[in-house]
Parts: sequence; structure tokens; C-alpha cells
Amino acid sequence: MTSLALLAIVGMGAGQTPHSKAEILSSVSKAAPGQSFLLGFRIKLDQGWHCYWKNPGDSGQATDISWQVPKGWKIEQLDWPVPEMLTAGGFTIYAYENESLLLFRATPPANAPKQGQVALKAKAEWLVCQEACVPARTTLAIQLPLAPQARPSVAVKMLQQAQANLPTPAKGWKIQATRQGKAIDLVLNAPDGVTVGEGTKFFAADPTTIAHSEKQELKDNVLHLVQSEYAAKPPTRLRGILVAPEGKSWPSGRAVEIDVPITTNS
Amino acid sequence: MKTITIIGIAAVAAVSAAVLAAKGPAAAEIGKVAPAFTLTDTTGKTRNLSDYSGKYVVLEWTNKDCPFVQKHYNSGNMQKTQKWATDHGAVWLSIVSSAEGKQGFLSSDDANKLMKEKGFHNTAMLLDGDGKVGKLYGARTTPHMFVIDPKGNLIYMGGIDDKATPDPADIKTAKNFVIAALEESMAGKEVSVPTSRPYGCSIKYKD
Repeated sequence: MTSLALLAIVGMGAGQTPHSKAEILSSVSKAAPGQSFLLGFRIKLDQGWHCYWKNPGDSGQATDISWQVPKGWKIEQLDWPVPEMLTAGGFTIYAYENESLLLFRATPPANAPKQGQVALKAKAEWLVCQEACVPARTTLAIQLPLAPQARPSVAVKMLQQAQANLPTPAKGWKIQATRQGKAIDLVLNAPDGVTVGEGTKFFAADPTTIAHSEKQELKDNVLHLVQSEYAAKPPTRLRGILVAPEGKSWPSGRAVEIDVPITTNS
Repeated sequence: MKTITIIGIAAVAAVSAAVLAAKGPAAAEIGKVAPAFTLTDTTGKTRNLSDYSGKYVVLEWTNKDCPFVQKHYNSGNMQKTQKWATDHGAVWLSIVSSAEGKQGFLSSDDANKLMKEKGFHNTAMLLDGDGKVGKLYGARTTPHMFVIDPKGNLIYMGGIDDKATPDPADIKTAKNFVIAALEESMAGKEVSVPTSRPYGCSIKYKD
């Protein structure tokens, strides 16, 4: 029964776009007043093609999703999944290969009807690149039945797993950032038993904070970064994620969130 | 397309090359003298940056096949910006750093045809197939814009405007940073936005 419902949803909410296919996934097959659930906007990419993280890096463009939902509905984007840092031709980008699954928390209003159905519509724009880039855009919608109680869909586990893989708060970490001239040092004191190994990388949330293509050197738990030549002013805050070395994870997952002030050493 | 592992290996070489380039003596930096260069234009004429001492110079990195470049040429926005700049006495040099065999590479003939077809209002188009001048300036996207004042100092580098999309509909509401920098500097004011994130396709440099 639930799989039928999902098929119907996927059928309504999927579309073919250049070098990629997009679909909307819902963690519920029936939504209920006031009960939050997860929506996923999944872009499946052709082999060899990629699309971008919220900070695309040296080139590219972040995927943009805007939702059109009935009055009173709330849609809130969760953090973006941890991207890959890809380097080619001296440039660094933060991107997804294979697929990009962006997550949203949807909350129907407490006074929503308990029957009938709603249309949740997503207008999406993204850039899909191999060597060359092609802009993709689509508008997808799913029709979601309403009920007094929410019902999980067959996509619930996959969406919950994707949520569990998002960057987590840096619990137990002591992180500081200091700046001297254009050099920014990120001091990483890991929780007990956690080693900050070679290959640990910082991905900045803002594209004009650090120079993406400068080597991030790690020495004695200090990650050396360089200010972006496109920073309008010396940055006063470092926001982004600290990603464990390739193939490794922190105890809480692939990446932890960083949002710290940058103090100046003069 | 390479697998991630291969990209990882290539990354080490590419990053060290980038670091070396950045540590060269004359990287582009706001408020500093713009790096000197000599290139041949599409008519075979040699162009030195120093030929234009005493004038404003706009450098525009371009790649005709990049959707972000097409946004600005198919809408006429780039030509309008070129016209505004050259009407106000500036020299406008469009530069192609795509390597031969890569996207956006142009022979002189093809470049001349393209400029005629699209109605460019630039001063000249310079061919930088070995990517030396592009790398000297740290040019990384198309478009990527640089503005140099009559003293030879770099006063702007970054995107053409503040709407980092390939959608021509966004031009109407965009703030054009190149015109703003020229306008402010010509009026004796400080450039209020001297840098912005360059946006677009990566430049298809020689491997």
C-alpha cells in the first residue's frame, strides 16, 4: 500500500533535465496538521557530471530550490549534505557527483484540513557540469493526501538516513580561529580519543572567506588557511564545516559544523 | 571523467602549481599595480597593457560556449557594458584563455566573426591560448572582470554583477559592478565594491 503511494508521489514529482533527473521525495505518504516531516529534492546526475554545494567554490553555482506551498505551511531547508572537494585545472569546487539530496522540514499548519490533498511545488535551478556546464531548471510538484495522523512513506528511512549524515554540531570540540595578515589559523582541539588526521579539510560556507585552492596544511592540530582574494574585508567569522579525511568520519559523522569568531593577532 | 581517487592525485599537482603561481611577484591585487602583459589580438596586432597607461582598462575573460557568458551576450548586456565603458574613454580588452581543443577556444578568424555577429563594443580581443596572462591575473571564471585605473592600479576584480546565475532575466535587477567601479573612479570617488565573487564557468586552461 505504501509503495503504491510512493510510486504515485514519485510519478508526479519527477522530471528529466540536462544530464540529471530530479524528483521530490516525502517521508510521509499522508500528512497531518502540525506534524513535521521531511521532504527531499533529489538530483540524480549522469556519470561524470556534478552539481554544486551551497558554496560552489572557485566556479559554478549553488542549487536553488524555492517552494510554493499552501498558506500556513512552513518549509525550512536543513543544512546541505557534505559535498566532495574536487580539484581540476588549479581550481577547487565543492560539489556532488552521482546525486545531490537536499533536505527540507515541512510543517503543515495546526489548522490544516484532515482530508483531501495538497500540492507542494518546488521551483529548482541548478548547474550541472562535467568540463562544460549546462544550466538546468524545472518545476516539480507532489500531491500529498491529508489525514488526521501522518503515515510514513517508503522513502522515510532513506530520508532519515540522509538527515543523519548531515554535518553535526561540534560537540566536545574546542575550535578557535586567529588571523595574522592573510593567514587564518584554525585551532582544532578534538574531543578525547579523536585524532585530527592529515587530510582534514575546512569547507567555508561563504565563497569569499578563504582561498579555496590554497593548500590547507595541518600541523599540530592547526589547520592553516589563506584569506580569499575576493574577501571584501578581512573576515571576522569563520563559518563552514570540518570534514574528516577521505574515507574517514568523526564519531558524529563525516563533518562537524564550525561557526567561530576570528580573532586578530597583531 | 576521472574517478575521485584520480582527481585526488591530480589535485596535489594542481594545487601546488596554483600556490606557486600565487606566490609569483606580480599577482593581481586591488590597489596594486596591475601585472604587465603582452598578447596578440585577433588582427595579429601586439597589445601591451602599458600601451594604455593614462586610460581606464577593462579586462574581460570570456568563453563563447559558457552559459554565463551567453547570458550576458545574448541579452546584449555585455555589449552595453562595453559601449558604456568605451564611450567613457576606457579601453576594453576581451581575453580568451581557453586552450586549443578546449571549450571556448577561438582562432583569430572565428573570433573576428563572433565579434561581428554579436556586435561587440570592445577595443580588441586577445588570445591567451597558453593561459599565461589568465593565470597571472588569477582569472578563474568566464566572465571574470578586472578594472585598471589610469595610473595602472587594479581598482576592481570579480563578477560582472551581483546576480550569479545563468538566467538572463536576472540582469534587469542586477548591480553592474564594472560600470559602478568606472563611474565612481571617474568621479574621483573610491570604488565602493572593489571585489566580488567571480561567477561562471571555470576557465578551460591548458592541462
